[in-house]
Amino acid sequence: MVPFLAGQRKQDTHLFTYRPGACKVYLIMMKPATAFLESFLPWLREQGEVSWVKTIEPRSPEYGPLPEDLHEPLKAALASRGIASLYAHQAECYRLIREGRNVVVVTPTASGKTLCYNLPVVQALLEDPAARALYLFPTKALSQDQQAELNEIALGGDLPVRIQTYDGDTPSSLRTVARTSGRIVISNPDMLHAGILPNHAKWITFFSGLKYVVIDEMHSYRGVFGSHVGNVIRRLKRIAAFYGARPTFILCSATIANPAELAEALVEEPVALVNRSGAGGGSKTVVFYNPPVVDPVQGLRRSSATESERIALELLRKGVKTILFARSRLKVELIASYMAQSLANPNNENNRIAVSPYRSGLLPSERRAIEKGLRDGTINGVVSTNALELGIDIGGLDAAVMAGYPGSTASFWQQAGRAGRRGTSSVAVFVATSSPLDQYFARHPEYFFAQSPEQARVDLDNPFIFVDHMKCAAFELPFAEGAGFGEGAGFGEGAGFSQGASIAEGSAGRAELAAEALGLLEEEGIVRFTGGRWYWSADGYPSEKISLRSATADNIVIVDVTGGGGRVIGEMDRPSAKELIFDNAVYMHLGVQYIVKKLDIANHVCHVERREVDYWTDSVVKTDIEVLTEDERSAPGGGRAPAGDAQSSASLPSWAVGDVLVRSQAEKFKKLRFHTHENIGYGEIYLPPEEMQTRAFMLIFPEESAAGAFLAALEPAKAAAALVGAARLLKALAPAFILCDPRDIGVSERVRDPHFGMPAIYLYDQYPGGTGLAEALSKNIAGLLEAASGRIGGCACAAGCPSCIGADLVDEGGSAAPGRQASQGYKALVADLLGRCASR
Amino acid sequence: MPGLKGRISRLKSLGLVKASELGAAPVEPAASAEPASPEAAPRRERTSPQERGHFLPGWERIGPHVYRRTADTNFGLGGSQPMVFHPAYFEHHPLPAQSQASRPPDPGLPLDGLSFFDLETTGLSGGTGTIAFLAAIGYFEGADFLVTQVFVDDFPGEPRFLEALAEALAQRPYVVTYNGAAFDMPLLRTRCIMNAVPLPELAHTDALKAARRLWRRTLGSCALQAMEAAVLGEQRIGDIPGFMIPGLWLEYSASAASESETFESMGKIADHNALDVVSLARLFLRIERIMAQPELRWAADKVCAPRLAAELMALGREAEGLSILEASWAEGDQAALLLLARLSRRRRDFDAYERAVLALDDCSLLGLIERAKLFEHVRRDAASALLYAELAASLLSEGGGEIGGLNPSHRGEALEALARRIGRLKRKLARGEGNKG
Repeated sequence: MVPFLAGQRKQDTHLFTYRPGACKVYLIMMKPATAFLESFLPWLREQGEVSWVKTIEPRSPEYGPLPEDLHEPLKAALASRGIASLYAHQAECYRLIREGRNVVVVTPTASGKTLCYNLPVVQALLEDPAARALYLFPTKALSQDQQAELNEIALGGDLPVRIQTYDGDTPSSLRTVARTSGRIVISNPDMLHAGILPNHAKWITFFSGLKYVVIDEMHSYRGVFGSHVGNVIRRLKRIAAFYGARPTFILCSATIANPAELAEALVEEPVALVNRSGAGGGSKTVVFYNPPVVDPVQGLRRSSATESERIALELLRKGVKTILFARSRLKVELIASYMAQSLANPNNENNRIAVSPYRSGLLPSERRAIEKGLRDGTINGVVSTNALELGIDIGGLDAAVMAGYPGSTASFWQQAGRAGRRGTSSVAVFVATSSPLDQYFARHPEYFFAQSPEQARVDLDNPFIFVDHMKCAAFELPFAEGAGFGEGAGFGEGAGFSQGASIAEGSAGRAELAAEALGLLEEEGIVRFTGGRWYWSADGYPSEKISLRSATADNIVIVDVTGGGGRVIGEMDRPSAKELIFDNAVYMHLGVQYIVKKLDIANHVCHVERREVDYWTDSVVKTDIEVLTEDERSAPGGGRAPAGDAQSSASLPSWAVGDVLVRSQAEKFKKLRFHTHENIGYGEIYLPPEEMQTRAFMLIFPEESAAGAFLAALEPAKAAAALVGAARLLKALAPAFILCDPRDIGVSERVRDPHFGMPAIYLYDQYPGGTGLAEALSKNIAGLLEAASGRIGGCACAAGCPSCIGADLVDEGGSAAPGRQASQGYKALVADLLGRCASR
Repeated sequence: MPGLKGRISRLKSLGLVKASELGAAPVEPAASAEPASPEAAPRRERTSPQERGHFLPGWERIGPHVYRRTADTNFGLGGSQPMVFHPAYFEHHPLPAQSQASRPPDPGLPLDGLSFFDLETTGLSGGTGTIAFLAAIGYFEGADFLVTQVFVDDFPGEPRFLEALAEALAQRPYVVTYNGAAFDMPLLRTRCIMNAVPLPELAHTDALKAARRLWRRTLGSCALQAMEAAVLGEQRIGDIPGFMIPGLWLEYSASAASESETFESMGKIADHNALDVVSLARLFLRIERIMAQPELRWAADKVCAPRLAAELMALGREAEGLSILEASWAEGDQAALLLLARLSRRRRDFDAYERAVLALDDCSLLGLIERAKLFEHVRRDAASALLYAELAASLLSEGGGEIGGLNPSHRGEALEALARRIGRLKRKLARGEGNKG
C-alpha cells in the first residue's frame, strides 16, 4: 500500500550524523533510553520514516551555595524540602534581584524555576513586614498549582508569609483577606485588569508595599495577549507609583530568541538576563517521525493526526502514559474520539486504558477532573491542545506525541518536556504534517538544537489596544495635562498619593500618543478635561468590556438545545465563530457531535443540537484588502538601508509596511467525511463580512526587480499562480522567524495591485491594529525569502504539494482544474519567482 | 516606531475608534470614507471651563464647585416614639442550638447619635472611576429630622466635597445606610483614599440587611422604594428614576453655565437624595418598633413571621417568638408551622412537635416528609412512616416540585434522602423493629 522509498529512508537515516555543539547524537541501538524504547523505535521505523533521533544526555547540575544572608526560618524551610544548595542560575537570580534589578530568567522545564523568584521574594517579605509581592500567571489553573507549591515552602517552615490566590474563583470572604493581609497575591493578568486595578483603593495596603512583581510564562505574553498585558503592566506601574511603590519585575520564560527584548518591551525598563541553566535533567529521546508518502507525485503523506493517534495507541497499549498534542480543538476532539473507538472493548474494560480530550472551552470543573485523573492514574492518555503545555501539574508522563509542529520551538520543548517531568528517561515523538514548515524542520533538525531563532513581539502602542487601556487608566486615576502612559510615565517627582494629590504625576512617556487618545475619548464623551486634568466621565466600568485575550470582547455562547434544553457548553470569539460554528456546521465538544441550528451573532448565542453525523465541516473564507497608509518603504531593491552590494540588491523586490483594511467573509463550507476526509458536499454560509483595520507587510514587485520583470513577462493567470504559491509558502514559513501562529498571519496577493500598480503580496496581522508582526517581517524578510526558495527547491514532489506551495490549488479550482502538466508548470513558476527574490 | 503618530487619528477617520466594539457591526464600505489626513483635527488649546459659581436657591457655596444646604423635613418623632435605638436589632444572630436564658434588656443608644447617610454617584458599578457628587446626611435634633446635603458640580471640587462630608459625618458616632455595606461606604472610603482626605472612624449599620431578613420572603424586592410602598405606605410622585442620575450629573458637570434645564434635574436629584434618607430613617424607626413590639406589629407590617421569630429567639426572646409562630400558624402559614415543629423538637417538647407536624398540610411535600420523620422517630410506627415517605417520593417524582417551597435545584437531593429513608424503613419493617402500631 505504502510506496516504499528505499533511497529516501536510507538518506534520512544519515541525518543521525549531525552533531550540534552541546548535545551528542547517538544511534538508538547504541543507547536505548528506556526499556520500552527498545521495542518502540523499531516498531516506529516499520511504520514510516524516522528521519532523526536524538538522545539528550542526562545533564549533571551546577550548584552554588545558599546565600549567606538567608533568613534562618527560610533556610529551615528549604532544608525540610531537602534543599541545601542552589543551582547556579538560582543563585545568580537571587544576587541580581537582591541588587534591585529587574530579571528575566530563561530555563527549561523542571529546572527549579520557581525558586529563582520565591527565594528572594520570601526573603524580602521576611525582612520587611510591609512588603508585598504580586505573582502573575497566564491562566487560573496555573496559579492554583503555584499556591500549592508556595504554601509548601512558606508553611513547611512555618514562615509568617500569607499567600493568597485572587482570581475569578476566589470566594468573596477570602477576597478581603487577600487585599488586606495577603503578602504574596497570586493572580492572572485578566483579574489584575478587570478586578484589581479598577478597585485599587481597596488594595491600598498591598500597592503601598508592592516590592516585587513576578511574571511567569512570559513567552505566552506575545502578540495580542502580550500587547494587552504590556498595557496592563503600564497601568499597574502607574497605580503603584500613585501609592509610592516602584516594584522590581521578575520574569520567567521558556526559550525564545529575544527574552530580554520581550521582557523590556513588556515592562519598559532595563531587565537583566539569566539564561544559563544549572539544573540537571533526565535523558530524553527526541524522535522526528515523518509519515509515509502515499502519493509520491503529489508528495502527499499520511495524515499526521492519524499517525500520531496510532503511535499514541501503541504507547498506551505498552503501558506508557502518553500525552498527544494536537493543533486545534477540533483535532483534539477528533483524535480522542478515534482513540476511544480503537480502545473500545467491552470484554476487558478497554484494557483499562482511559483517554480524555483536554482543551480550552471545556468547563473548569471538567478540566479539573481530567487533571486529577492524570495525576492519580485513572486517566492514562490525554489528547490536548497547547492548553496543557503550561505548567499545570498533571504528574509524570512517559511519552509526548506531537501531531505537527506546535508553532514555536518554545512550545516544542515545553510539549516535549511534558514527558519525563520527574527527571526520568522519556521519549518525545514529533509527527510531521505535510506543511512546508514541518517538512522544513524535517530536513533541519539543527533548528531545534541551536539557539532558538524566533522572535517574540508585542506592540504596546497598537492603537486599538492602547486606546482601550487609556480608558481603563483614566477610570483608575485621572490623567494630568501632558502626562504620558507607559515608558517611564508615572515615575516623575514622587508619587501622587504621598503628596496628597489625586493623580500620578510623571514624566511624559508616550505623552503625544496619550494626548491623541484622550482627545479621541473626549469626543466619545467618556473623559473630560477640567481643572487641568482628564477625568473619566461616564457611567460604567471599562475593563469589563475589554478582553485581553481575543480580538473582540463579544464572545458567542454555545448552547446545547437538544430536547428543548438550554445547557451552555462553551464559548467562542466572534470572528472564529463565523468561520467555525455557522449554521449547519458540525461542532465537537468532549467527543460529542453537535449540529449548529442557529448562529445568532446579534444576541451572541449559538444554538447547537446533538446529532450523529459521519462528517465534519470546514469553511472557505474570501478576503479583500485596501491599503490605508504606507508608513515605511524599503529603499529600491528591498534593503532597509542599501549598503554593500548595491548592484545585486537593486534587483530584489521592494516592500512596505502600513495600515490596511481587510474585509473577510466565510461564504461556503465543505463537508468532509470522518477518517477519509473526502469532500462530500458544500453548503452556503450567510453571514455579514468581518472588517478590520490592521498592519500589513507588503512585498511588491517593480519591473526593475528581477522578480518583477519575471512576473511582467508572464501571462496574468500564470503570474497569479506564481504569486499565490509564493504567498502561501511565505505565510507557512514565517513562524520559523517570528514567534507567532500561522493563523496570526493572513495573506493575499494581486497581479496588478490597484494601490501599487504592480504585483504585490500582502502578509497582514490577523489582530486589529497589528501586534508588531508586520514590522518583524520587515526585519526578517531576507531570511524568509531564502528559506522559501530553499524549501521549494528541496521539495521532492513533482508539481507542488502541501509541503511546499500546496496542491489543493489544483483540485479546488473546480471545473477549470489544470491537469498535471499545468500544475507542473505551477511549481516551476513559483520556484522561479522565489529564486529571483532570494539574495543568494 | 515609524508611522505611530496619527494611527489613532486614522482610526477615528475610519470610524473604528472603539476597539472593543470593532466589527460589532459591519462598517460602511470604505469607499465612502474620505481619506482624512491625520492633521484634520488640529489640537485645541485646552482650558478648563469657568466655574459656575452658583447653584440652586437655598444652597450655600462653601468652596470651589462645592455647595451645601440644611433643611428641616416634615418628618419628625411622634410623642410616643422612644428616643433610643438598639444596634442588636440590626445584626443577624444565628439561632442558638440550645434555648437561652433571657438576656438583660438592652437599654439602647440615643437616636441623635445617628447619621442617616446616602450618596448619589456617577455610576452604579463601582470602581475607582465612579465618584460621589451628592450626599445627604439626615439626623435628629430633638424631635425634628434635619437633612444636610453636600453637592459638587465638577470633578476638581471633589476633595473639598469629601472634606465637607467627613466633617458632617464626624458630628455623630453612628452611620446608618441602605445598602451602604456594599456600595456607599466602600465608595466613600475609596474616594477619600484617592483624594487623601481622612475619614473619621464610624460605626456603621446597613439597614438593608435587617430589612432583607424581615421582608425578603414576603415582599421579594427590598429596594428602598419598594419598602416605602409596601411598609411605609408612601408613593413618590415625580421622582427621578435612579438609573438616570449618573448621566444627568455628567451632563450637568460638562455643560455650560447658562443651561437651566440641567438645574431643574439637579434639583430633582437633590430632592430624591433627601427623600432617600427620610425614608431610610422612617424605615429604621419602623424596624425598631417592630422589634420592640413584635407581637403587635408583625402582621400589619407584612413581616415574615418565621424569620422574625427566629431573630427574636436568637435574642433570647423565646416567648414572643413562639407566640408569633402560633399566631402565624393560625393564619395557615406552613413555614411558621415547620419552624415551630423544628424548634419544639429541638427543645424536646414532643407534644408541641407532634401538634405542629400534624397541622402541616398533608398534601404538601414537606408535610409528608415531616410526618414520615414523626412516625419513624417519635411514634416509632415504621409502617405509617413508610407510607408517608412513599407518598412524598411519588409526589416529588411526579413533578410537584414547588409544593412546600422546595427549591427545584434541591429536588435531586430530596429524592435521594427519601430513597434512603424508604430503604431504612423497609429494613426496619423486615426486621420487625419500630412497629409499635
